[in-house]
Amino acid sequence: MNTRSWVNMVEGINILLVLALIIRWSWGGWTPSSPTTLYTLFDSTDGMDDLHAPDAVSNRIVKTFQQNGGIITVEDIIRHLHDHPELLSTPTHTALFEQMLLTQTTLLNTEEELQIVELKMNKLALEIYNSLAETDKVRIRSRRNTDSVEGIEAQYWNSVLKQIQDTENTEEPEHRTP
Amino acid sequence: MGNSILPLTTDDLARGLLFNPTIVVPYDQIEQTYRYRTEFAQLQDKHRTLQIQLSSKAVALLKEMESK
Repeated sequence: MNTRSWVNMVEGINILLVLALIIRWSWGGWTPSSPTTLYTLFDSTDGMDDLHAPDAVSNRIVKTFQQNGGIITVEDIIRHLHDHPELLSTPTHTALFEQMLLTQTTLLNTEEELQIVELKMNKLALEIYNSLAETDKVRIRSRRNTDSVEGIEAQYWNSVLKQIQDTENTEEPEHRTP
Repeated sequence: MGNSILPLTTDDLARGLLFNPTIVVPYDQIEQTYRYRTEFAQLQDKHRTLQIQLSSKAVALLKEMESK
């Protein structure tokens, strides 16, 4: 078989592969062999409050995974054990379960304490806010982001900028050409 | 708290008072709010730690049951 025949054969195989790809695409679209690992957490149907709510991302991740069946919670395990108590068959199982119960009780008590303290804190903050003059209320309300940025984050920004400038100043003589 | 789209938090109020020194508020109220805020942060931390501990214990139990 001469060189020309080899070239013709390779070209023929290439053409067949291209045809196979086109047929596959036209029948079912291009589908990757493994499912995608990217999930859209927020889309155009979400409002500004959805995006800016406290713990918006972590809460949405949990919700998304729950919809896709990707998360098993402690409550799921407890419900399963409630239906199948025979699974706790050894003293180690029982000991671990008792530890979980103790932690869960402490967790619930902490949640109660959190809510009580949060309520007291919000009540007092509201009391302070309501005692302010209307102009002061407006000022605090309208400038809260600016106050936060200028008063706290700006210190970090300025500190980084100063570090960069100091580094540039110390390196500058080395870059100078005679 | 407040009329904005997003509620004004205690932290917003504290920052607002800190960076607007012309606004005068009774000291004991500020001090008490600070105590509540500190306690709240400590409880949040404890809550997170307990959640992690509970999850770890649940995983340990599952592993133990799997090994039998």
